[in-house]
Amino acid sequence: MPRRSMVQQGIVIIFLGVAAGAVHSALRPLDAPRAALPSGDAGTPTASDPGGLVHGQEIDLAKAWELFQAGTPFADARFLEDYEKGHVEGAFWITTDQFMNGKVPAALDFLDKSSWIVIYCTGGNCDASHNVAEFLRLVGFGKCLIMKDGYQPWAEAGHPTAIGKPEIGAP
Amino acid sequence: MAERVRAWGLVCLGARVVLGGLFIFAGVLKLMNPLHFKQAIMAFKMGMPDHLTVLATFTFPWTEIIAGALLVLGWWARPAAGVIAAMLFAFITAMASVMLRGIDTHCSCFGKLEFPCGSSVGWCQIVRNSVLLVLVGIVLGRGAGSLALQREPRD
Repeated sequence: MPRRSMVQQGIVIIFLGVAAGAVHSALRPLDAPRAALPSGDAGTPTASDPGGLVHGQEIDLAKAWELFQAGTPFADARFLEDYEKGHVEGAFWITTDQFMNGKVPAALDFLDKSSWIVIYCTGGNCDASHNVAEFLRLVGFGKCLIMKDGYQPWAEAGHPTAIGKPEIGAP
Repeated sequence: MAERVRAWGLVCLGARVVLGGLFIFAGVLKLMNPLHFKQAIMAFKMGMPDHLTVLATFTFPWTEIIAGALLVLGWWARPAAGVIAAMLFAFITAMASVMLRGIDTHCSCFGKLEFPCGSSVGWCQIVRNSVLLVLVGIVLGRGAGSLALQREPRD
């Protein structure tokens, strides 16, 4: 086969892949649909939330530690393998995968919709915690905070951690 | 001579069916859970803007499926093998970069299965992709082989 013709056909294959991918991504947005978010002020600060925190707000390690000491539940949005290697002590395991096909994570049965929840992933560019926060808001948990530094700085700071499978929701 | 030609035809048939089947499988697994794949791309920390990450989340699996299907059918087998070679090189480069930067993450190459390697990106995935490159080399070098829909002119 002439090399030129092979390159042209290769380009056609890539073009078809990109076109199919573009159409698919347009038809199926990945992030939770913001326009469909329930109205209301679940995330706005109130007198009972003197910290002035809002849903989806990023917090630093110090604030997360303060909330942990106050008994605020934590949710780990990373892959199961990462959770098993090490997680914030007592953290629930809640990932975007668990919201697929109309299902909700089993851990939600153990969480209070009026309570703040601190969500974390690996930190840096990781957006899993933001995605989980949006999914949680869609099912009524409108008080989620993002521990922006992620798990590793938490562990390196010597804060409580644990290893092993999640008690709730493990496959 | 005829025996040898027939043997190579069967080898090429095996290579493209295994390779094509694996890539179709990998593409479908990724499309079944695109959020999982998107998170894996993000975890590679390649500095891609979000809209490109989303496009890559869907483009890679579709390209895998299309190229894989063409390989299995034996239609445009060499160009399809070339596209798969390019993707394999890109994956190997990205995984090597992740390993050099000390990032502990998952490749999501086969969805959650990580077939046949462990969970974290490591040498196993690089060796696996290199083995797949050998199969690609067979198709690129010898053509589609037996039972191909498109009969290639002899070089």
